[in-house]
Amino acid sequence: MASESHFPTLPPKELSFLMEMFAQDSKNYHVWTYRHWLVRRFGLWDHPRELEDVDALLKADVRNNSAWNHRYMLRFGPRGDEPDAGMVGSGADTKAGVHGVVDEEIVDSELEVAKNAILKAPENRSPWWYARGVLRAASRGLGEWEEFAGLFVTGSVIKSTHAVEWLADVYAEGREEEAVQMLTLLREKYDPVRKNYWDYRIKMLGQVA
Amino acid sequence: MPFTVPGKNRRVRFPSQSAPIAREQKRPGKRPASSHPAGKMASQEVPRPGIPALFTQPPPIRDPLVTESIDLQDATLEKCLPFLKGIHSNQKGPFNACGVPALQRDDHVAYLYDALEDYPAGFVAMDASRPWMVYWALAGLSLLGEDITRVRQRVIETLRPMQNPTGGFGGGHGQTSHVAGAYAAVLSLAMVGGEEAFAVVDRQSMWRWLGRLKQADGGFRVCEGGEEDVRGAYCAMTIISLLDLPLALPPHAVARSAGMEKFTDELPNYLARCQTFEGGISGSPGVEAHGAYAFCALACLSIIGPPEETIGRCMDLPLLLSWLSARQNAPEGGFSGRTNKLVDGCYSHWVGGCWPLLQSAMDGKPQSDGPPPQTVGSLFSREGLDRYILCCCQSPHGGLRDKPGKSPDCYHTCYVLTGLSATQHRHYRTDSSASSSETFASAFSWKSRPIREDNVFERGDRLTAFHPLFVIPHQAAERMRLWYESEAF
Repeated sequence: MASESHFPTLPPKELSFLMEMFAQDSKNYHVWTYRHWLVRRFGLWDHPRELEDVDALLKADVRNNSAWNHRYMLRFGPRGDEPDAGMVGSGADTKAGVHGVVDEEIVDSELEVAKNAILKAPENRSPWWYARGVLRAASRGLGEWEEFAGLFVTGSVIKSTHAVEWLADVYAEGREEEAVQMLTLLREKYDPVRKNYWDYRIKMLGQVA
Repeated sequence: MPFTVPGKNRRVRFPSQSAPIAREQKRPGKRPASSHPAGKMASQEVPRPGIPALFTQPPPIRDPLVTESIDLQDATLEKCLPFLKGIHSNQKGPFNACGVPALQRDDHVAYLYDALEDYPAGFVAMDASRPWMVYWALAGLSLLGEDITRVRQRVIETLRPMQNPTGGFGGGHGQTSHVAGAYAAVLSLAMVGGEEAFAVVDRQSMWRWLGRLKQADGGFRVCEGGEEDVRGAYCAMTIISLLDLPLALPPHAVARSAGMEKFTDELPNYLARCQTFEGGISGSPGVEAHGAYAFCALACLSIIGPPEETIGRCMDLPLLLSWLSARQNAPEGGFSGRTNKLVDGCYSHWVGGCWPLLQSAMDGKPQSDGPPPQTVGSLFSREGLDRYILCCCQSPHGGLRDKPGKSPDCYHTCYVLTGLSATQHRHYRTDSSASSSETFASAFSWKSRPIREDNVFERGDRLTAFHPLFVIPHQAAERMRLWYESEAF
């Protein structure tokens, strides 16, 4: 079991053993849950193997969302005795997603990681939402990626629904008509199975405006 | 959530199904010749009339970079398309004007009755999930309108030995008590109903056992010495609310030393910490957002208080809506459990079941005993989900499945049907509760009404309405609660 006396330190072969399991099933929820528990139990946030393994798995499949989630917890998860949480500062009585202190260098380098992943496969939801989580943790707005998101939405050529949604969120603050245009693109052409949701988003914009 | 039964397939009633399915699984790249003429991709075949292009064509944007996730997605799409188009040789009709096949009620009923019989040796791994096997079969049969009181005595005699004198139910006779087994056992007893069934549960020992599972951070372990996750919280609060157990923690509960007095103390905070940066909800804080855990967390919040208060306070709602909405993909129309994962019929319930809870939270405090005015209405495509269920999830010899190419099992049969039932009804809360409890007033105020407009299914495909929190018929939940309210603790 997890007793301190049986396992005072990280068993040396454990991380490699987990990589063997990921080789068979790279998104296994239970293995990832256990890996997360190991990080908390042995304080492995800055252990070199953690980020190395995440990088290796993302290199093999940049769409491995479990690996992106693990990366977020390594970089921005609560540490030490702070209660664990899936979003920095989430909780019933706190402002969700806002960190007390974040290292701006880590924020910038993680945004670069997300950008590089998006350039490889712009329609991959994982790095787009990772980037949203990073900016949220740093209390920075989506606006700083307006130009980057725009790379994938040029005139009639749309390369990423996530870029369109990003722009809609940027435009929602003060440029509602343009936001409606973006949401309408998703509703009509690029993601119509979610029509009711996009309609709801458009309706909410009207209420804000 | 993948759920596989090891060993041989059932032989009792459907001997013909195991061989071809097993062969198909071993060679995932091979397509059945009957529906895929040589050299012709499924995406090029002409669909039945009445089906919108949205549900027969690949999505408009495709990245050039192919990875394992894309390979799996492509293979899934190829398998689903002939079913979505209504042209696969294994599909049974009749098809309606929307190009949707009828629910094969008789086949599914037969499959579920068979599931209540003996199992061959290959099912030994399910020996720790026996209350689940009972629950899945009874829930499925109830949805299909079967009178399950006829199996009451068998259910009572099956479950009684699984209860431990130290409280709770194990996954089988002589096994350690577990919240999942206890949840499935209590819900099964509620469904067969009657005093004799209700009297099986030893509430005193159940209360003390649950007290030992409550943790200092507000959550619950799934068993003594086991892991803590949102299943623990949802199953525990389901049991507590249905059995009318005292909300006060037992005298020697460990959580009392952390200053807690009630089962609900710090629970909302624990669940709030399970929301991730993606907006979805994970099994425990810090892990990846997942559809099944999202349902457990949202249903738990809706049991312990009115959802407009509990969900509103604990969750970033816009973020949650965005993630939940993104679980639906076209052309499949069904739900995936996580970002960049595949559609799976069981999420028809786990993800689909989150929607009524969020819609009710947005509708706000109920003002009457009828349905409140729609504030937002349905935020997902009911049509898409119903098409996926009826076209892709029905196995040719009865039972429902994850996706085409997979064998049916009780778990998927139960939760695919639960998802279909949920899309057929509007679920709302009223200002009057079946329970006299203040804490659980909201949980026992739910009603369901059939939706008559914009349906792609036929009248004959209609299923019984289920309680959106307890996942059994409304009356079963209310009768159980009222019986225990009238009994001394």
